[in-house]
Parts: sequence; C-alpha cells; structure tokens
Amino acid sequence: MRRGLTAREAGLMSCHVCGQLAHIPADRAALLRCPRCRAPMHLRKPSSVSTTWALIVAAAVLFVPANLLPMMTTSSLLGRQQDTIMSGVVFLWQSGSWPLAAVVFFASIMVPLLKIIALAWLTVTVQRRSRRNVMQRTRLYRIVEFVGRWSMLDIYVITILVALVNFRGLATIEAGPAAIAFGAVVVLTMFAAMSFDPRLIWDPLTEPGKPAAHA
Amino acid sequence: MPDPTPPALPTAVVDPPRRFRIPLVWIIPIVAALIGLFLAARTWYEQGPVVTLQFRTGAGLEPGKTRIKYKDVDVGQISTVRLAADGSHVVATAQMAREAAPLLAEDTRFWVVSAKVSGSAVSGLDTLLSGTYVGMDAGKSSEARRDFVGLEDAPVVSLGVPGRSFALHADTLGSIDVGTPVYFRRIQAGQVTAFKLDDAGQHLDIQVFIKAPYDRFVTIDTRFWNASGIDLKLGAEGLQLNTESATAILAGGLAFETPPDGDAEAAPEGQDFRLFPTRVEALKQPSSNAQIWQLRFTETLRGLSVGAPVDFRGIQIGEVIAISPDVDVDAADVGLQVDIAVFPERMQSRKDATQDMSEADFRAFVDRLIRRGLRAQLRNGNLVTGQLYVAMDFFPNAGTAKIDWTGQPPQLPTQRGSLDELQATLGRIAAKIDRLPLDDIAAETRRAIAGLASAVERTEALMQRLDGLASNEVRAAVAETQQTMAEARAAVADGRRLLASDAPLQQDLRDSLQELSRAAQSLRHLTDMLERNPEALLRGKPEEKP
Repeated sequence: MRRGLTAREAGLMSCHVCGQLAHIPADRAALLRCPRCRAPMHLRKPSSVSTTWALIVAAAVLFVPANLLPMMTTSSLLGRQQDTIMSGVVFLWQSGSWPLAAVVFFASIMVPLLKIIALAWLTVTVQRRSRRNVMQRTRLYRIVEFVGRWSMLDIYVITILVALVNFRGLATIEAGPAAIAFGAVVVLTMFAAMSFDPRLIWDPLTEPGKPAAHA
Repeated sequence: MPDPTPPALPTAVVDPPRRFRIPLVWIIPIVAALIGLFLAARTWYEQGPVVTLQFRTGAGLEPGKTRIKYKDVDVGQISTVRLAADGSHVVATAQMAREAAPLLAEDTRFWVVSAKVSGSAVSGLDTLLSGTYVGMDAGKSSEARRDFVGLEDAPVVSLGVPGRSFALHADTLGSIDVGTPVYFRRIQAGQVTAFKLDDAGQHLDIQVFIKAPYDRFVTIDTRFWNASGIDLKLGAEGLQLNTESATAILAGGLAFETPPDGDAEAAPEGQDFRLFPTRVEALKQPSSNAQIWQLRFTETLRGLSVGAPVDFRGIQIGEVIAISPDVDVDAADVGLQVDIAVFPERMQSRKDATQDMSEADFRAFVDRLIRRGLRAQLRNGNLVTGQLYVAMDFFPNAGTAKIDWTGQPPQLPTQRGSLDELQATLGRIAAKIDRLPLDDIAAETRRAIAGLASAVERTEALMQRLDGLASNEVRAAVAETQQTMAEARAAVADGRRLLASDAPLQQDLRDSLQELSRAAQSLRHLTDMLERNPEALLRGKPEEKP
C-alpha cells in the first residue's frame, strides 16, 4: 500500500465541529481552539487510549453481574420465575429452539464478550505501537463499531415484553437487575469503540526511526 | 517533503493550558467496579446455608425451581436432586436464605407439599398450579443442623403451636387417621398427630395434640372416647341422636371430657390415657373401685358375654368381666362361673350412708341383704338376639343362702333364671297333669251321663201323666164359661135394641120433646106481647090497627 502524507506530517489539523483546517502552533501542550468556531481542536482524540481502557474495564466488570443476575422476572399464577441470560439460552436449547438459542447466545453473550476482547486487543496493540496486522485491526475496528448497536437485542425483547405482558394478578414480567448491567455493558463498549481513535493504529507506521512496514 | 499548505490558512488559537486534567473517564470503571462489588457483596451476604434433605422419592422436586417455604414465605430453593449412593433414597441440596439460618435447628422438619384430598380436609390445592414445594417447620432446639431427613407427610401440628400432646391406647384404630379431630364439648380442640402399633401388636398407641386453651381441661381423670359415627337412642324421652359433628360422622373423630368430680390437676405432657369405644363406656365410674364377685350358674350361659351389664332393677351397677367353667370333681358337678365387677359408687344413696363403712360392717350389710333374699339371676335382655344379663334382685321366697366370704372373690348366691324357672314350673305342672287318673275319670263320667239320661226319661213320663190328669176338669170349666159368655152376649144385645133409633121409647121421647118445644115457643110469644103491651093483661089484646 502506498503511504500518503498525513495531516500531522503536514503541520495541519482540522476542527471536528466545523471542519476548519488550521496550522498547528508551536506550543503543543497548550489547549488549541478552532480559529473559526472556537471549538477545542486536537490532532488525535485526547487521551483516547486511557478513556478506552476505562470504558473497557467498566464494561468487563459489569459483564459479570449482567450474566449472573436475573435478567427477567416472570410472575404468573403458576409461580415466579427468574431467568438469567444463560438460563434462557439453556431453556431455548432444551425446548428444541436451537436456532433461537444460538441467536440469543451470540447476540447477548458472545458479541459483548468479543467486543470487549477486540477493543482490549486493539488498545494493547496501539499502546505497544505495533506495526503488524494494521489493515486487519482497522477492519476489526469497523466491525466492532458496526455490531455495537445490535447487541441491545435482549434489552429490546425485555422492554417489549414488560410493556406487553402486564396483566395484574395473572402474569407480569419485570426487568431484572441484569438488564441494567447488560445495557450498561453494551453502551460502555459502544462508547469505548467511539473513544478509540483508529488513526492511532496507523501512527506507528509514520514514526521516525522505524522502518515503514507494509500491512 | 513539499509543503502544499496555502499560507492563507489560519493558525489554531492557543488558550492557556489548564492546570490539571482529572481523567474523568476513569470514574466510569470505578463506579462499575463499585456496583459489581456491591452486588457481589450483597449476593454473598444474602447467601444462607446449604442444607441437604433426604426424601424417599424425588417426586415433585425440581432443581432450581422447587422452593422451600416456611409459613408460606420462600426461605430457600432446591438446587440439586440426586440419588443416594446406595440408591435407597433421594438426596436434595437446598440453598437457604440467610434469614432462614437460625431456623435450621436440630428438630426442624421438612416435607414435600402436594395436593391432598382426604375425608376431612383438602390441602395443598395451590400446588396444582404452582407445582409442589417443600414445607419447613422451624425447630426450637438451640443446636444447629444442616442435614435433615424429610417427612413422608406434612406434620399435623407445627412446632410453634402451643398445646400438649398425649398418648391414647386403643384396641383398634377404627376410622381414626392422622389429622382426625379431637373434640371437647363439640369444639375442635386438637388432632391426632400419629399412631402406631405397639411392639406386641396388641394395642395401638395414638398420639393426640390438644391446642393451647383446651389442653388445660385434660386432667389425669379425663376420658377419651371414639366419637365417630352416629349414636341413635330410642328412649323414654323419644328418639335421641347424638353426634359430634358432621365431619366426625364422615371422617371420624375423638372426644374427651372430664367427669365433674374429677381431679382438677392438669395432666402432664405425654400422659397415657385409654381410648374408650363410646362415651357411655368412657364416663363409667373408674373400675379401680370395682368389687369383684363370683356367681355360679348351673343353667346355660348362651347369650351372656363378657361386658354384659349387671343390673339392679334397671340401674346398671356393674358388668361381667369373666366367664369360666367350674368343675367340682368330688360332687361330679359342672357349673359355670361368672365373675362380675360391681361399682358400689353407683349404688350410693344421696345421703352417702354407705361411704365410710368398715369391712366388717359391709359384710354384715351384705349378709343382711342376702337374708332378705338378694340373689343374682340371669335374665333375657333381648328376646330376638337372646342376649342375657345378670340381674340382682330380691327374691323373698328364695331359700336360705350364705356368702362364702373366704372365697376369692366371694361368691354371691344365685337364683335360676326367670325363663328357666318358668320352664321348670311348666314341667312340674305337666308332671302333675301326667299323674291325673284320666281313664277313671272318663268311665265315671260315662256312667254319670247314662244315669242322667234315665232320669230325663222318667221326668218326661211324669209330665205326660200330669197332662192327662188336668185335662177333664179344665174342659168342664171351659164349657161353663162359654155358656156364661153367651148369656152375657144376649143381655148386651137387648140393651142395644132398647137404645136403637127406631125403638118406641125413643120415638115417644122425641115427640114429647117436640111438644115441649112448641109450648116454650108459645110462652115466648106471650111474654113478648106482654112486654110490648103490658096493658093487655087488663084491657085484652089490642086490635090490629090498619
């Protein structure tokens, strides 16, 4: 792949709000503002790596209660039942709905887990200024960002069920504490993906003193 | 490197740098970690002890679903159900709630609750919908325990209910079951909690539990009886129907009562009582004061059974307690010996004169009674079934008898039974009839009848003679009478002729009377004329004026 000139190398930066192109002043430590709209300007997302790390850690921590606590409480004449995500998957699997079980398992357990792992890997490689698999990592980042919004499937199902099934005395469905944790996991991983600056993947290639590696 | 940047581009504005930037984003994982820690801590805190329960079968036990309830509140959940190592029973492990930990004592009980329908109660219907659950009854022991053996059935009385349990001894179970109610004055005061056959297989031990306000009415003197079914009595007061309650009729029941003069001291926990079959039997005087007497009968005892009443002129004063043959080898005499128990309290008069009687006085009293003719006798209580009872009564005509006080028990003299005696009397009459010279009597009678016939003939002849003697004189008398009658009739005819309308006398008389009447008329004319013309007497009859 032919490497082109980056804005940083050209001594330029653009405003994220109004798109104004501007010269980078000499004082790098200072807070820069857009000469046109006064919005803060920066070459790369500020403290992208540490923010991503913080969000990944928070998501990983909340992933545990999201899977252990009951997701949904079904109260009916026949009694009260509390279901975690995994017990729902097991129930679907045992009742023969294997495709549905697989969908729920992937959407609700595998995807958030893989997202956390993928983001962690991306951040680690960026921190280590790795120059390998640059193209693959960029593609992975795109997938992670795209997939993020779809893992709210469980939350959607629960919100719809809670609204639909509300016959007092006969049957009610309530969201359990895991629903909040799970929603938080999904939102946090989305924020983590947003806070991650994919340009950092490419930056090591332009650094002086190191041979430019072709992905 | 070429510089394509047009020089017209502005340079970014430089603000003074901020003093210190707190990486705010790290608050998020800290909060997440705090939430996670809080949840973990709460879960750990709420986690109660794990107990193992042994059940005979795993029916209705579902791991992760079956709940454990105490007073209808969830206190745990069955987590696993597996077979015991030797396969003889099922071992379930249960995760208990933290607040249930102090309830898991040495005597805590567990049982599987499922729908149950019995004669007296329907229970656990809610389990039809919600599935079975494990019931728990908290123990009171201070010793904690973590492995329990589940009960087969729900305990009838939970440990927390105040009251006392007692043991009853009965010969048969009847319609009693666990849960059968125990009534006190028709209030349900308790329940049967358990029953088992004793080791010898002779008696049943029935455990009853009497609830708190009623258990103080159970004294040492209290009688328990089987109150199942209907007690129908046809007495002098009419038809009497005695039952405890509709449930007791259908499903059986027990009842207890304390005799009014009973000991007021409450019975201790676990006190043994006898279970009587009926109320009447239960409320009889205690047999401890019974006097045992022996009777010897030579007649048949068919129809007399142990327990048959001993009766004095309608009052039951005791009962037959044993019947045995009594063989006197020396006299070659086989009799039947009947032991009776007599309760002297039932014969007490209101004045209580016999209460403090010494042994010697009592013997003298009984001796006097015997001298007055007190005897025991078998009588027929029921002509249809032939049931016999022992009657005590006075027979003034009975021969002399004495009580053998040396016998153990003393023997009372007996009198042959009424029916038996009737038979004997009839036999004696028959024998007498048998001895009568009936043939001689017949010959005599025949002779007498022949004599009577000849007498009748003679009487007839006499009558005929008498007839002949009387007829002549009577005939003469009759003829004379006829003559007299004819004369009398002629006289009457003369009289009638004299008085007839065409008789001359009557004609003359009528003419005379007509003359007289004319004369009277003339006289009237004269007087009339004189009245009008009184001067005519002087001047004569005036001339008729023209």
